[in-house]
Amino acid sequence: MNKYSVFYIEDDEDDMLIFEDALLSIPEYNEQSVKLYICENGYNFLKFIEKDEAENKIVFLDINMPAKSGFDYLRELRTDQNLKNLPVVTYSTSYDRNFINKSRELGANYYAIKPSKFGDLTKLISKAIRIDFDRETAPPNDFIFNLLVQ
Amino acid sequence: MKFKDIVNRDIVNLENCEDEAIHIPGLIQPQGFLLSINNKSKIVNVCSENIGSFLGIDYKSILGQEIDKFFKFNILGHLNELNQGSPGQKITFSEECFGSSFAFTIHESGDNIVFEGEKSLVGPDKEAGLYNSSKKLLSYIEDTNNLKDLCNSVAIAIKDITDYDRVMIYKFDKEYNGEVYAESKENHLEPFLGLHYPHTDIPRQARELYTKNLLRIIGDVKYQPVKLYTYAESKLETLNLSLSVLRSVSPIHLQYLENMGVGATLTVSLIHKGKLWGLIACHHYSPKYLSQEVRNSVKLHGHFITSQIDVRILNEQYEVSGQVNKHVDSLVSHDLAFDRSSIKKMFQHDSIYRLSNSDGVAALIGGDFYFRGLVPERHIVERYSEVLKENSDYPHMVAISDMPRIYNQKSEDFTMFPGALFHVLDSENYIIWFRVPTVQTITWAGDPKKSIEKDKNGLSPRKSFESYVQNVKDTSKPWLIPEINAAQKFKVFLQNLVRSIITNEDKERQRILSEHLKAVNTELDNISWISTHDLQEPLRKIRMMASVLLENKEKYNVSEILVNRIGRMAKSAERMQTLVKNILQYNQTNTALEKFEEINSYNLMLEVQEEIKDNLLDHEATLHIDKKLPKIYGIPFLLRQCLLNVINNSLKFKNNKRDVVIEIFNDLEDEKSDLYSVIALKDNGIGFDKEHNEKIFKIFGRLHSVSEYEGTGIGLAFCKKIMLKHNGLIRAEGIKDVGATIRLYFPKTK
Repeated sequence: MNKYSVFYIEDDEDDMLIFEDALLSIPEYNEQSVKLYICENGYNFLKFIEKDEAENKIVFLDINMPAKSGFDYLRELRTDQNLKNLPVVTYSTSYDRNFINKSRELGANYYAIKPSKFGDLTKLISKAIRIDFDRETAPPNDFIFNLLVQ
Repeated sequence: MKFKDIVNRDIVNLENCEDEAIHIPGLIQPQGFLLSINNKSKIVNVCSENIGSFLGIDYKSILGQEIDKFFKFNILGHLNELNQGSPGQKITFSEECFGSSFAFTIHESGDNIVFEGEKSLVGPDKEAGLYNSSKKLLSYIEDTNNLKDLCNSVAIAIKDITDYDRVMIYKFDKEYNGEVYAESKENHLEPFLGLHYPHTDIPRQARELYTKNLLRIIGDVKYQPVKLYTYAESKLETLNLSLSVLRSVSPIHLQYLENMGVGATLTVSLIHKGKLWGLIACHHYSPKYLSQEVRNSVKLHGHFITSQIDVRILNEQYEVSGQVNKHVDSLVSHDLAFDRSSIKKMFQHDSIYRLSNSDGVAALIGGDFYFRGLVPERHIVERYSEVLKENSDYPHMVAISDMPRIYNQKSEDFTMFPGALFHVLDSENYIIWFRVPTVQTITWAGDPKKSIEKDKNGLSPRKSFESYVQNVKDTSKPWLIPEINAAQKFKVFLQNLVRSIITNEDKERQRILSEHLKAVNTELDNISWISTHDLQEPLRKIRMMASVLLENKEKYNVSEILVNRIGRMAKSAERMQTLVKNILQYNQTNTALEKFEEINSYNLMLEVQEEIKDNLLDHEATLHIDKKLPKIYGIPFLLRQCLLNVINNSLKFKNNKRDVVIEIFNDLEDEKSDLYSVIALKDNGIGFDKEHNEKIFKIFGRLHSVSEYEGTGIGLAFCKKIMLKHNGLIRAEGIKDVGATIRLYFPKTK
C-alpha cells in the first residue's frame, strides 16, 4: 500500500505531462510509496479519492479551469465532511494577490506558483510530500508554498 | 522829413501761401484809417495813406508828431485805459473828430499803439435789436438740444442781425479740416451745408491769427489796399497787424472769395480751450460794412456757441450713448443658451455693429468666424487682429480710425476699412468693429457737381472738396467715447458668454473623455488578465520544457550546441515573462487607492538599503544617505518600489572604471524646493546625454540595447507613475560618463 497519494487537478495536458515527469524525478519517488492521480476535472477527482486508501494525501489544485474553477472545487471540498481536512495546495501561474488571498480565504493550505524550471517543480513536489500538514500550518507570510522550497 | 511805405512786397501765390507773412502786410482795407504811435514818446510813427479822406489831414503832416496835437478828445485817457488792461486787449470807443463820429479800436503791437478808426454806422434801432438778440440767445439754450441745433439757431440769428446773404458755422476736426456745420442763407443761394474743406484752405499762420484776433471783416473783396507809411527816422520796418481790424488780407484769400462770387465777409473765431474750434463765416455777395455794435453782437454770439460746446458735447454724447446702449441692451436681453448657436444668433442682428455706429463687425471665436454688416474678407480680418494685437495696450483694445496711414507700409489691406475698434476676448478670440472711409459717409446738402467752380486756376469749394477727399482718404469717422463704451460693455458680455460656452463645451468633452477613460480602463483590466494568465502560461511552459531538456541532458541525449540554443531560448522566454509581469505591476499602480501616510524618508531609505544589501555588495556599491531626508506623504510600498527602481538603475548603469557611490540627499538648492520636498539620488555611473532627460521616463524608453544592459524599460516609467500618484514628479539629469541624478519631488502639503 502506498504511503502517499498526490492528486493533481489540471485541465492542461502540458502541465499534466510536466508534473508527472517531475514527480517521477523526485528522490522520494518509488512505485510503492507514491501514487499520482491526474484528474482532468472534479468528477474524476472524487472518483479517485473515494477509492484511494493512502495514509497521506495531497491535492494540487489548478485554479484556471473551464466550467468549474479551482476555487469552486476548493469551496466544495471544504464543505464536504470527509474532505474538509484534506491538504490542498492551490496551484496557478498567477502571482495575483487576489488569487492568493482568495485561496487562503477558501481554506487552501498553501498557494503555489507554477515554477518555470523543472528543478524547481521537483523540489516543490518533494517538499509537498514531506510536509506533515496536520502539524505544520502555513504562517501568514509563508502561505506561498514556493517560499518554503528555496 | 522823409517818408516811406512799409508794404510787404513778397510775392505770394498758391505754392507759398503756407508761408505768407500775413500779419505784416503794411496794407489795410480802405473802409477806415490806421495810425500807430510809439507807446513811450506818443509820436505817430505809422499812418495810412488814406487818413486825409477821413480827417482831412495829410499823413505826412501827422507822421513824426505827437498824437494829442491832432485829436481834440482825451486820447491819453484811452491810452491809460489800454495800458492798465491785460495784454492783447483791444479797446473800442467812439469819439467825434473833424466833424464826424468815429468808432476807434486801439491795441498794442510791440512798442506801439495802433489806432484804427472807422466811420460810425448806427442802425435805426440798434438798441432794441441788440436787446432782442441777447434775449433770443438765452432762449436757444432751452430750445435746442445738441450743438448742431444750437449752431443752426445762432446762424439764423446772426443772419437776422447782420443781413449777410449767407451765415455759416464751420467746425474743424483735429487736423483742422473744416465742415460747414450750420448755415443760414438767402433762399436763392445754393446751400454749402455739409461741405468739407481741407485744412490747407486755411493756412497755419491764418489759423494762428484767428486765435489772436477773433473778428475779421472784409467790407469789399475788390477793395484797393491802402498803404501804411512811416517816416525815415522812426527806424520802423514793419508793423505787426495781428490784432488789427483793418489789416489787409492775403491776395490769395481775396482771390478765393472772388472765385466764389463773394463780395464781403465777416469772420468770427470760435475758440474752445485755447484752440480754434470753428468759425462763424458770413458772406455777402456785394460790399458790406458793419457797425462796431453789430460786430460785437456777432462776437457775443460766437462766445455763446463756444461757451455751450462742452455742455452740448456732453449732451450729444449722452444722446449717442442712449442710442448705442439701446442696441447693446437689445442684444444682451436675448435669452441665450450657453452654446455656439447663441453667438450665431447674436450675429444675426444689425444691432451688433450699430452698437458702436460702425459699418460691420467680425469676430473669431473658438475657431469660428462670425460677421455682420460690411467687413473685410476673413484673411484680412485676421491681418487686422495680428497688427492690432501687437499694438494693443491693457485691457487689450484699440480704437483706430486711420489704419492704412499707420500700418499700410506692411500691407495694402486696410484701405477699405480705415476704422477699427478691436477687442481681445481672450488669448485666441477677438471681435473687431469696422468703419468705412469718411469720404463715403460725407453728406452733401446740395449736389456736389453743381458746386461753384468759377476759376479753373483758383480755389473753389469744388476743388476744396477734392482736396478734402485727399485729406481724409484712409480715415474713418473717429470713435466717440460713448461708442467705445458701448462696444466695451458688449465685449464684456460676449466675453462672459464665450467663457460660459467654452466651460460648457469643456464639461461635455470631459464627460465624453471620462466615459472613454472608463472604457479604456475596463479594457486595460482585461489586458492585465490576459497578461497574467494567457501570456504567462505559454512562456512558463517554454521555459519549463527547456529546463526539462537542460536538466536531463544525458537522459534526453542533448548535445552541447542544443544546450546553448535552448538556453538562449529559455532566456528570451524569461525576459518576456518579466516584461509581462512588470506591465502588470505598472497597471496595478493605477488601481492602488491606499491612503497617504506620513513617512520618514530617511527610515524608508534605510529599509530599502537593508532589503538590497546583497545586491549592493555584489556591485560593490555604497549608499550615502543624508540624515536630513525630508518628511513626505505617500504610500510606502509604492515608494519603496520607486526607490528600488532608481537604485537598481544606478547599479545597472554603473561605470566599470569605478565603484558605485550613490548619494541620497535632501536637495534644498533645487528651483522647486520651495513647493516640494526634493529627494535627490545622485550616482557616478555612465550617465546619459542631456537630450534624453525626458525619454528615460517613457515606458519601454530604453537608451541602451538589451545585450548591453538587461531590463524591460519599465523601471523609470513605473517611478514616474508612482510619483504622479503622489502628486509629485520625477526628473532626471545626466552627464555622460559622469553620472545621473534622479530627483523625486513630493508636495510639501498633503
